[in-house]
Amino acid sequence: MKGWIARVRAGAGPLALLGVLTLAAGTLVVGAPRIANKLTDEGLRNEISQLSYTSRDLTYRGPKPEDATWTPGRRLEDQKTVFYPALRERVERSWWAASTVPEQSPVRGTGLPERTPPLFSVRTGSGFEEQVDLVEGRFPKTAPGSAGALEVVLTKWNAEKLEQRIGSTFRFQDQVTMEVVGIVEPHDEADTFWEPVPTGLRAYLPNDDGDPYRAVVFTDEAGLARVARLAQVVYEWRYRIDAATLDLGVLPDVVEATSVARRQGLETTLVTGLDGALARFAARARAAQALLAVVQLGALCTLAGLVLLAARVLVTRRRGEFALLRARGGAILTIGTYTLLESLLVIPAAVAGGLLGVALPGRPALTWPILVAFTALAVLAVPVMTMRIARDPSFSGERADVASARVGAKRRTAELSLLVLAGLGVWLLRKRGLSETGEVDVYLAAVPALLAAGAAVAMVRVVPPVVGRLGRLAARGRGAVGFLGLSRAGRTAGAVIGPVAVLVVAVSTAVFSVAVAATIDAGRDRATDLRMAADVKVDGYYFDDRTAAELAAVPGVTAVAPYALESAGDIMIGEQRRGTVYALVLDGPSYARVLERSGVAYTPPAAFTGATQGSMIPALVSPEAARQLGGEAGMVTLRGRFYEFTVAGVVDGFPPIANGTTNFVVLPLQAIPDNARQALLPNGFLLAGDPDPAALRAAGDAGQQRWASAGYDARAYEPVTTVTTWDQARAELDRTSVNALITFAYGIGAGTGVLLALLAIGFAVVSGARGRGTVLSRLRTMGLTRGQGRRLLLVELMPVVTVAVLTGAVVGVVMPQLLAPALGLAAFTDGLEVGVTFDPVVAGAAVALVLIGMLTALAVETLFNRRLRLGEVLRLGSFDAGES
Amino acid sequence: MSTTDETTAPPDLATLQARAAQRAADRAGGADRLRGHLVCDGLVRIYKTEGVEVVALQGLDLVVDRGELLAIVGASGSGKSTLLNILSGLDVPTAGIARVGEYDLLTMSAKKRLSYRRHMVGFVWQQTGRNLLPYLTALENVVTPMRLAGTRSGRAARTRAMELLDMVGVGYCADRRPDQMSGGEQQRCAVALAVANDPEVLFADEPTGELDESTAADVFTALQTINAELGVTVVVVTHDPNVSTQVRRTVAIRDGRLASETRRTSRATADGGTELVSEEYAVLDRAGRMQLPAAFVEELELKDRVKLNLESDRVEVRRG
Repeated sequence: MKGWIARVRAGAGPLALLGVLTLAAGTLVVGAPRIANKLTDEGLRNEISQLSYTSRDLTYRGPKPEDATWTPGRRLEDQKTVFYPALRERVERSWWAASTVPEQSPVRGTGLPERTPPLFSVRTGSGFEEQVDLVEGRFPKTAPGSAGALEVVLTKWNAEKLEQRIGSTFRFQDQVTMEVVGIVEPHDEADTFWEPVPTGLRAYLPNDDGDPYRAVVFTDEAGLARVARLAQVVYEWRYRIDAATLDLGVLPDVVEATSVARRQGLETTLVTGLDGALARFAARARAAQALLAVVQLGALCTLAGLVLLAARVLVTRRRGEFALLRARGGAILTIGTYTLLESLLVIPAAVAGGLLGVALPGRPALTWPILVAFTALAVLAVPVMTMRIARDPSFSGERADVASARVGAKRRTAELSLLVLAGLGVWLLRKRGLSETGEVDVYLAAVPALLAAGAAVAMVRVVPPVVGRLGRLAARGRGAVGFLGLSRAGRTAGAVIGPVAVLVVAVSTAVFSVAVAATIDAGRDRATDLRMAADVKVDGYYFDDRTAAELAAVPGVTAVAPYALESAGDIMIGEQRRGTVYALVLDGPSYARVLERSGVAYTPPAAFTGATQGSMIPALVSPEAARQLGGEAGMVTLRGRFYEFTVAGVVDGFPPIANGTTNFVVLPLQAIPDNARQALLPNGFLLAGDPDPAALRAAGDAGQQRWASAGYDARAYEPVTTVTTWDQARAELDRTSVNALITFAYGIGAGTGVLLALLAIGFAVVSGARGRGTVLSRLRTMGLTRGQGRRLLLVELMPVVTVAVLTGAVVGVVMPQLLAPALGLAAFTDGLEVGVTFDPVVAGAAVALVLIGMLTALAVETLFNRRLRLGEVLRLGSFDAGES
Repeated sequence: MSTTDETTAPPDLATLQARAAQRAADRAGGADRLRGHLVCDGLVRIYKTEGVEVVALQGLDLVVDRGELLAIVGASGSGKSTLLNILSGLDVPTAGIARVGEYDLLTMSAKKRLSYRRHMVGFVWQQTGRNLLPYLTALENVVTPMRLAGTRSGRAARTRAMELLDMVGVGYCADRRPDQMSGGEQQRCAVALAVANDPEVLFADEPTGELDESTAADVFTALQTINAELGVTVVVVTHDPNVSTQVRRTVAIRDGRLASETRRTSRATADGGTELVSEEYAVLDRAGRMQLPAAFVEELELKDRVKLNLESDRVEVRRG
């Protein structure tokens, strides 16, 4: 025990470093996936909670056959029972409701204008009474049969606007008398309960333009039964999934359960978008987690490399001791056991790291086997290395430098295997992708790290001869420092392969993270460009003709292109409807001007911008629309009119039509005959320049107001103009659900990459410090100053560190290019496939890293050689100083 | 060849020799078993460094008897340390015969080699720092080989260690770590450590190389004590002229072969005192080769060819 304590104290420094590295690995391995899970789950919940109720909830709809015996309340439970448990257990709230189809619910005698009779849908269902406060009167209690009136309640807002009060009566389809018995006030109008019945809260009030009043009035089951014969009654059972119970882990089960639920309707059909939304999210999250896995594995490989380096420093420093023990009769196993007992001390560090990780918030991930493997590596590294050294102990210590500089067949084979493994990995990765099956393949995720290590190996083989040659060149010049430093660098570069490999992996992980971030950024910029096709976009209902000129007059606006769009126009050939398209009408020349002035790198086809009025309008169509059309000409409906066009070109996309829209037709406004343009009032504008959004909104509002006030009757639309700047659209992309996870992945990659890179440089210095100490002492006896000594260190380390950092940077930049198809970056860039972009910041950061690295090296060397007591180094002779 | 007479006062080398021989005979079980404790015959060791072969030993012959105190001298690079490493079981010869006691150093298995290092031999190196574990006290250092070999443990080991330390005169350093001891104390402690497991042979590679004269004398005295008191065969590689005059037999190695041998014998003088007689011999190998001393060659300006005349009791060498 005493000997153990003494040995632990003797190797305390490297052992502590091993402990710290294991602690960091423990935290990283256990903690990072937890945080990643937390961010993913939050993103998921956020995304789900933003969905409209028709997508988010499971709503079964269907009629009730006359002979049906079920009650809707009972069926609400029955339907839930058949769900798969994954879904059933996540139902947070559920309601049933039944209402008459609005179009079949005209009422008379309300006192409202009845040129077109008001449409009051009659509705009943569960949960209503809990959602409201009774302001006046009572809840409906319609008598069964036909005695008395059908009793209804209205919201206070509706009662006022529709001029109804307690006791008011009116007739449903002129046959059934209805009486208002209560006025209610909702607790919370924003509650999801009200989502399907907006007109139940606030009725639609027409502006005497021929539209009917539309509202929903609430009754009881007996009340609804009275009108069931007069109008079609639609039943719905709605199940709200609790977003808080969703996480990525249970997603596949929930998606499957939801898909199955589509077939589980009891004589009803399911309306939901939940499975689709969840599946889309899962795909994005998988891509993000694959990215995180790559980055994490890079960091972990670097940590493992550092562990091996720390172990090597420890073992090298104690080589003499092991040789002595062996000479004194210690068996290899005995010496291995000694060091094993010492390195067992890292286990508490690993446990502490794991516990630290567990303390971080988030859903646990199954990562402890990795931690166990890492801890095993940290525990076994020292004993195994010790036993290897003890097997072939060096008692005389002669020419250790020559031995380590020589490349044996074993090492060459290992290096070649590494390169082959990396190459194979890249090939497999490009072929299969990283996470096709949902699980991230560890080997494939390690490919970037393997690639970096391979590059490091190649570099260490290439650099020494070059540096040696430089050294000979320097020998011809004046001054000794350059020559001495370069010659030593050329000789020892082969021996510092370990730190260099770790440095390259660390730097490449950092640069990879930054490069992918830059790529995603550039992809989002481009996606925004294509989505906006302008600096600012102004949207509204309809604007009058003068609006374009007024917008152009707003200070800062340099170009304006009005557009009219119909999100669901029909394309037809003759009388035959061929499909629904997204139809856009744009003025070609002004569109081209906006594109140019707002710097969007997109050139519209000349057939579009140069189109002129002729017999038929030359249109651009999407490939899918062209397929539906089948020929060269067709018709498209816009604002209720038909426009005949010929296909002037087939294009894959057309800004600002959203990427991924498959069916679209784009018509050049300038080619549409003047008389046919009347209906094509713009509902939006593309603007170039940097105007004040408020001024644009004011001009837009004025334009909409003028349009609303024009004509015989004023229209009852509130003019709301939406102004979207490029930056806002860009920020919208940044808010995507998995964005936080991606940012976290970059943070881990860049942060740990840089930190570990500096540590690796520190190791490179430490592992050669003794040898350098001897050289420095000798040189100092020949008149070397301290300053020259420091410069010598810099000259010696500079080539290796610079080349290592640059290699890491190049690998980091090249990696996304090699792996782009596997990484699935399009998931983060609005579906836009983007080429990998080179960020000049990377180059600057690499240079900065070299400089910081050199400063670290100086600091470590100063610290180390101050402790080394140079006088002793010389007196001890070359044996102890012979390590490098 | 040459004979020099040296009259020395005590410590009586002859007495020490006699005592060592007696102890060795006790250990071996009879004075007739003293011959040929270490035997090297045609020993060859070839190193390869960066593809270049270096022949460190070129067919070396050497026989050392049990209980002998032998000094090996030679210029730097002559192969002394290589020989010592081979005899210590730390290095393996390329060819020839090397035997220590029952152990054949060429064909030893790893297990046998371990047992050889544990029980048969002990070493002292030149660098004081290399002999002791820096983080253990002198006593703990001496106990270590016993624990490694499992020969003694606990109190028995500590008692034995203390005895040995006292024997070499550094008992007062028992609780000091190497950095709290002088170089001489460290080396004497190393001598105690080397014989902790009661080995039959002790090898010392320039044990006084790093020490000043008086300290070196202390260390050598320790070696002599060990040799005389325990009957351990001691082989010392040295440059130190003082050391080589204090042993009975000194062999010189040149170019990986044994070149000459000096033997010191004591005889009674006419006035009743003891006189040490030093005789230097050239060594004749099995093929009949021998090296002429460089001084003789220069003196007679011998070059390229020489004439040999066979007389009844000698061989004459003349200029050719």
